[in-house]
Amino acid sequence: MYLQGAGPQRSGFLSAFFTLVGTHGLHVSNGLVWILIMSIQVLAKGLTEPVASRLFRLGLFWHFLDIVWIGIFSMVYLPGVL
Amino acid sequence: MQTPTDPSDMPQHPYITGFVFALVLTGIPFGLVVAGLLPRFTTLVVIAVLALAQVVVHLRYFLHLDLQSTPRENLLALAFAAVLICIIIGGSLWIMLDLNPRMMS
Repeated sequence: MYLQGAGPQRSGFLSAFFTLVGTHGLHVSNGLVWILIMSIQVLAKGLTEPVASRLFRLGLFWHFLDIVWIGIFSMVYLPGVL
Repeated sequence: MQTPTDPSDMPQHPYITGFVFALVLTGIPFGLVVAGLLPRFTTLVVIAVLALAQVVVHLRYFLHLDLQSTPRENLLALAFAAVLICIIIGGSLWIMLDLNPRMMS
């Protein structure tokens, strides 16, 4: 999109789009790395108290992220395709 | 997980139940948009309503926040967050829709 001239500087809509989708994408990528690390930790250390605590926080992070995603696809993608 | 007093044959694991609900609540709006069966405004309303329903599904089945077991102050905090989000989103939409015709020249 950016290379076709439709970058975040072109319009208010695109600024919002790149911000929203970009930050969500960064958070999801971060979360995926965290999931990978947690899988390794659970396998290596078992469900010790610190590991379980981190797993719980990862769950909170991840589920809040997918609630934001519901908002994004309902308000940005679907109305855009309609 | 299966208790002798519970005759329900619904999946007992909340994550599976929640996942199935989420799948359906996502599939319907996507399907409506792709198939184009309903007029545009109706489709947008359906998307909004199902999105709200899906948020409740996530809160209840994935985050285990429900009206029975969640402490009252947590429910209150959630309600307050919802109010703030409505103000921010609603207010932004109001401003943009109101300002848009006056920015065209």
